[in-house]
Amino acid sequence: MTYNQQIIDNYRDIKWVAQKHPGRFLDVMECFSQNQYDCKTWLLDCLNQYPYHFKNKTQDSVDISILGGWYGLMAKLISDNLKLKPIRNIYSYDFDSIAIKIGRKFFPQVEFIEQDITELDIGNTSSSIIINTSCEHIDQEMLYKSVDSAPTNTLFVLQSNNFVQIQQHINCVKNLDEFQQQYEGRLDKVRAYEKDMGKYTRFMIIGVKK
Amino acid sequence: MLTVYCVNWGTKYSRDFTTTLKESLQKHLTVPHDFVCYTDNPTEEYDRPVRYPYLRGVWHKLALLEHTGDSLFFDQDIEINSNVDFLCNDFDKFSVLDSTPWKPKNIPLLEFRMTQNTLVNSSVMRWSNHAHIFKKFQKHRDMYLRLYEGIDRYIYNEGIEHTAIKTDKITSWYQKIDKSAIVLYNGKYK
Repeated sequence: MTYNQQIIDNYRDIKWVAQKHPGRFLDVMECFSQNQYDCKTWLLDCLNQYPYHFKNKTQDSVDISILGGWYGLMAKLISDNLKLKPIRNIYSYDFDSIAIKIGRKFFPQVEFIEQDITELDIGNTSSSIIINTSCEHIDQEMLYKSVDSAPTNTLFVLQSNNFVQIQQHINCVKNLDEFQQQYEGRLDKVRAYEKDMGKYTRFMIIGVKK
Repeated sequence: MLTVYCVNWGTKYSRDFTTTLKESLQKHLTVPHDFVCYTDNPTEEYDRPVRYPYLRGVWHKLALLEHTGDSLFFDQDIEINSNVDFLCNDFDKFSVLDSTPWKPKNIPLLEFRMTQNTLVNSSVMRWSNHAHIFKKFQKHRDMYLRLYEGIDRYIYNEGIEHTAIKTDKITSWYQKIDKSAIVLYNGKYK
């Protein structure tokens, strides 16, 4: 293993979590697990190839919102690896104040916003791209509300799965068809994907708000 | 009128557990009461369907706190051996059991805190007007389900105001004490 300053900094931050927020230590480890990383880099690979026009795509740079951003891994990966468009601002929304605090420690370049996404009016944000990788955790009506409140041509990237055994998963879908059908009246120019995760399958759709 | 609740969700406990609990209470709780079982498979007249089908297992216990009025809750995996009228007081406080008598004493503090461990046990609960506890849970349900294995850890680590019942009339099978009024078989049935 080649050590560098970044790795040393990471260990320092992990130690800080253990000391200041020990009850979050395992949750942080889960957020930065191989599975989480694989699902989010898969999203980036697909998003970078999205071919269609969306809101403000012709501008020099765009704002991006991550809904349910947890400790900020998705925001950080997007910030470092999005090739589709230059990023002006990247916002990571979560109602969890401790997650926000830890996220800011890990990724100071990301703008973390403490807000319940079920109360967020996307129409009042400047974001051209909305990313939600935890649809299986959220009531379907709330997901519809987030799409409906967004301006036309906003680009949505949504992930869900069929992993019903997890107690937080209250809104799984059976397959990719079901996931696509949920949004066929709301999103246009849809690209749909699935990824075998072993115990379950992860689904993703990328589409533009009608 | 006192209401006594239990929950039988999923396949972990057969109907026999609920029947035994009901019959034990008829024998050992002399305070007039109604017996209600919340279940995902209602078959008896005292059964009620669970109110939140998307919840799993023990989290249905927390949903019972929506009910107001003098209330007791008992887990399925307990044995009632003698009179339990001693529980019928202090309904104005939300009460659970003090689990320190059977908790391992050698858990390092850091491990205890990292695993969001707990010193309370909800095999028996008592309340009257505490719907706010479930309301708080529902507001950020996804986070609590992610952080906590069960409601004991939620209650203890989220600073839910509670009273811990300390009595030698309620023991755990871990303590190897025979025939207290209530013996908990917590963790015995997987």
